[in-house]
Amino acid sequence: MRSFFYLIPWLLVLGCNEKQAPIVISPEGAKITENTVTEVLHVFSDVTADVGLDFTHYNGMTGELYLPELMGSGTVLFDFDNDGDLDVYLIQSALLGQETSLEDSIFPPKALPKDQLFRNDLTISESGEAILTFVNVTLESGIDAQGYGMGGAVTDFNKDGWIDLYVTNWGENQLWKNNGDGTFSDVTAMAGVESQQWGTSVAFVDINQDGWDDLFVSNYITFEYDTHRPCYSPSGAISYCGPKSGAPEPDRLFLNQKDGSFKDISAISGIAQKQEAGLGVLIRDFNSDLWPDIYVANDAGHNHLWINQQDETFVDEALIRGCACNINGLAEGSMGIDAADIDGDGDEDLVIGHWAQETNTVYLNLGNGYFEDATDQFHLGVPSIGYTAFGTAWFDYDNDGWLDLFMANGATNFVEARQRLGDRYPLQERNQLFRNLGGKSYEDVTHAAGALCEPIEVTRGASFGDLDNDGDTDILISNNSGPARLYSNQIGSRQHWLGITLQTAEQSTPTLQCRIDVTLPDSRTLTRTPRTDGSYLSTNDPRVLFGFGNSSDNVALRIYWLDGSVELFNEIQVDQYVTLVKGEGTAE
Amino acid sequence: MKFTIFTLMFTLIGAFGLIAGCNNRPYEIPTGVQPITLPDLSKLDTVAQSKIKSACTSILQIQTGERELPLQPDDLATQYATVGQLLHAYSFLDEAASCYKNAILLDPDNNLPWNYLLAQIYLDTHDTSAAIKYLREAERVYITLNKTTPELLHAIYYYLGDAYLSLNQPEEAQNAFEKALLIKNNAIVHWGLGKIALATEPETAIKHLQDALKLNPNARNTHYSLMMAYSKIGNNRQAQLHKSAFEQGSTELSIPDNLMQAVGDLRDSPAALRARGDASLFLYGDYPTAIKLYTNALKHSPNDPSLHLNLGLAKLRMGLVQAASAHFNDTLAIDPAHSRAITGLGLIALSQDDMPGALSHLQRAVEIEPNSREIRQTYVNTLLQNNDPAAAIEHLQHIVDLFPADQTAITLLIYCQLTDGRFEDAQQQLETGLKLFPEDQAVAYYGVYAFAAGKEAQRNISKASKLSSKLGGESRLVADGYVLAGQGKFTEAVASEERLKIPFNLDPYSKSRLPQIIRYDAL
Repeated sequence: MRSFFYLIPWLLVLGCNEKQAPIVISPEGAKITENTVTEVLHVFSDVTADVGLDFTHYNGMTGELYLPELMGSGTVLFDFDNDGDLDVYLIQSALLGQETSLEDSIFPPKALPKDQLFRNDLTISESGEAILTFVNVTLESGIDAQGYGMGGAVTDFNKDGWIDLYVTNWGENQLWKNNGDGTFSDVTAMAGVESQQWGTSVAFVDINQDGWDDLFVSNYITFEYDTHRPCYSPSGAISYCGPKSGAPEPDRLFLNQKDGSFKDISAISGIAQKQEAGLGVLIRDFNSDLWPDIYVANDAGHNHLWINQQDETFVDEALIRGCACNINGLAEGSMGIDAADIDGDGDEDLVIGHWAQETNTVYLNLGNGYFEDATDQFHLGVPSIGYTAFGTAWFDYDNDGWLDLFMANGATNFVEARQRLGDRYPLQERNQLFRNLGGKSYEDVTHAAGALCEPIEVTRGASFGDLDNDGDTDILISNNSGPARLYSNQIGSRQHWLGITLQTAEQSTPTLQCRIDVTLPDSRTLTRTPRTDGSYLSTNDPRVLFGFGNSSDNVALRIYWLDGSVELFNEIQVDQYVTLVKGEGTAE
Repeated sequence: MKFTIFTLMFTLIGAFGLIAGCNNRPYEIPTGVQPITLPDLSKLDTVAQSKIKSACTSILQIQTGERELPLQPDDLATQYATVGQLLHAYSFLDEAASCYKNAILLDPDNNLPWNYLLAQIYLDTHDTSAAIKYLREAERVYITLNKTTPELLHAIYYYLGDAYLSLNQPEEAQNAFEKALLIKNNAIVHWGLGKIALATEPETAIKHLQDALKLNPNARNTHYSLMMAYSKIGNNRQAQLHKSAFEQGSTELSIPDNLMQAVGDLRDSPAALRARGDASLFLYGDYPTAIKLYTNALKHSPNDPSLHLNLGLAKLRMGLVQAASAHFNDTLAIDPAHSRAITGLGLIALSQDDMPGALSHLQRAVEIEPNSREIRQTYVNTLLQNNDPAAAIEHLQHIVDLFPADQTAITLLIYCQLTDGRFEDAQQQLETGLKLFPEDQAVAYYGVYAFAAGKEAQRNISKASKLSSKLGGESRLVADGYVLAGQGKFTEAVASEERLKIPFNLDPYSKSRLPQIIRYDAL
């Protein structure tokens, strides 16, 4: 009887005349038909190996499911040698556990884990083609960063004309002063910016508009080996602990003393009055009073919107302004963030990456820094379910003038389908790309993103910038316990574009946070803000790229400088990078 | 005989095919009924594994033909549904969904609960369209069969409304919520109606939300939505009021759901009991339920220190001190360095006036977990109760270093520094304290003493007077006394002191001496 039952199905199959397309069950459970014809656009290509960016993140895990190993690390873009192209700093983590050795690691590293600095040796061939090459200059740089690395931020903190670097750790943070000769010095102690807490995203911001950048560091939760206990999922399976497993640590604000040092004003500024598990930091003037505000995305806690009171103090107004939690008043697991004008109304709208069982959230700016949850309106909610989003940015990948959206995804709870395959680190998810449809909604174009969304990895940090200076935005990502990848944009530069660097006469390094408006022939105004902050643990290109589609007309740019002055720069030719210096435009 | 998964699938399909075509079958297996497979249970504890395997055995044997089909299709449906609920309880949602679908097909006359539970799975996985489909089906069955469990119909309509809302279909959402209200006038439904109107008609939203508030004044969700609505119409005063209420609120709106409750109760493996206990203790504050769950969990895992600890915490919160103490000791017998258990014993010792015992326990807990604000603050409170503010200073400073805006720690630190005669340190700390908490009465009060009562060179009577003017009531009178004494005006200080209900400092003033600081809480 049993064998008869066993035979029948095979007979049925063999007798079946209908041709069946082979089905592949993807690790995520979605069915992909192998022989389906797909549009091959190659929007992004993985050029990592070609350009020499050889880096694998090591999270130090040994099987104990320590929380730090889940977090990943960030990527930093900055021009440390002032040669006009973006160099790369990749943050490494370290071995976890007491009395463990590298051999105890589940994925042992090839060498002693350290942060790595890569110099961009971009050249232009005779035919005009950009040839991107990176050279590992870590040894020569003198940077010896062996901590449990998390995030990074850059600025010229001492105004010597060279961009410096601050790196956060689970443990001691570090401030690396750029010596201007290809080397860096650790000036953390001298500068007074030490911190023993679990630092995550970080940003430099001139909170008092004295021309000197101050330092904001978001912190996560307390985690110590001695008090670590196992955690369990609701069904009882052993699992990683979450952000509620430790006490949240207060964020820190350090005021630049203009002499190479900083003063910790966390308490008196008001920043330390509230503690949540901070993961994402964004600097913008949300209430349009020309003073920079600070938005912090917190994991499983209310987000903070620190409104600058213009006297070196801040007040958290996230709740009353509608951007602390979701439409139901519930805090969400917030990781990466960005803000930009996605609907063309001249104000900055927020996007926040969330945990898999929550949607990502779009907070539409209603004008003057009040927000409304508009996730469903833009169709960005449902497609994000099942994904845990980290690095993110609004950026115009096709240079059509509308800001699109990238989400770097990677789970924080084991993906059962991957576990069944015997994967030893079953947290992989696919990244996602969404195209802006005229400022009204978004379309999921993940399938057409090329290499950018093909691998299924545990992606965390993401930096956005034009590494080959060809006029479109490339993406550098970091994978938790995996390789860093550089995705080169293949289509943006086919449309017309303009790249802007802002400067003032007092400082040769780029000026940030000033609004730039361009009015198009069809009367639409594009608004962009140069910045390096946002995303997750990462740092972005300080230049701004405008996409103009197929319009090659000269454009006029209106710059709103931080001191309130406004200047017009007329008749700027497109398809180039220009540096606009304060005082050289026409005052309005 | 070993089957690969692939082979098994074909076997099962074939088996059903054969059954369907067999003239001796007791009944037709409806088209669409799919065989289920056992999911990967390896991440669950052994009790859960055993329970699920055991529950699935019969149905798997039926599928392979090892066991005869039940006589009636509804019996087969019940078996699928039972297995489905168990898999649902342990979050095997795909498999549970398959079971529910099979039950729905096999028993069309009685499939109301399975449609509802299937919809809940789709709500959980955010497949909102599918959830709506099965909620609609549940509605249809309910009405067709003339069921009389209005709570279930109410829940169906509520979830329909919420689902339509998330799909940006406000008319359908409104329709569903209104139907829910006809059955029961529930705050959560009014809240739903309020959310529909929030984006475009905030005044209408406010009316609905106020209705919700009348039914449940403490629900945070309602206050949050009201804050948003008032913000939209520019009524900042009301927005701020509801913001405060939201921040202070402790309850969330919920809908009674016996079917889902029953599913949840099926999770009774040790690890699941623990997880449910944790939710009861830490999320809902439901201590009796937490105790029941942990006690059951301990039967299976008697050597799990976290179970002993949490059982102790739950009993401590219910005032069952002796029992709690026993559980903390049980925790330490397994994990001698468990700082939370040691802290628990410290608190118990304190409650029993065993000061040396309390201090000893808490000091040990601080040594094990030095960066825990909670533990260190508990130790500080105990030191102060023991009249040892000097010893508390170091610990308060540690808290302030880690949490530089901790109001309690800063205030107490200033007090302790003043008690120990460290006026300069106190004045420095006051700089921060006064900037951070300019309206704080305790900080102002300590500031008066700090600037009035130190050594001559440390005094600043003008500052002390300004701070004193911020105070009221008894604390003002005491503070005025400090200011007068600081200027050497002891007779006036006595007069000021005599106006108090209970004078504190008559003795030192009458002897022309500056008094010790009285703690603000004691005034």
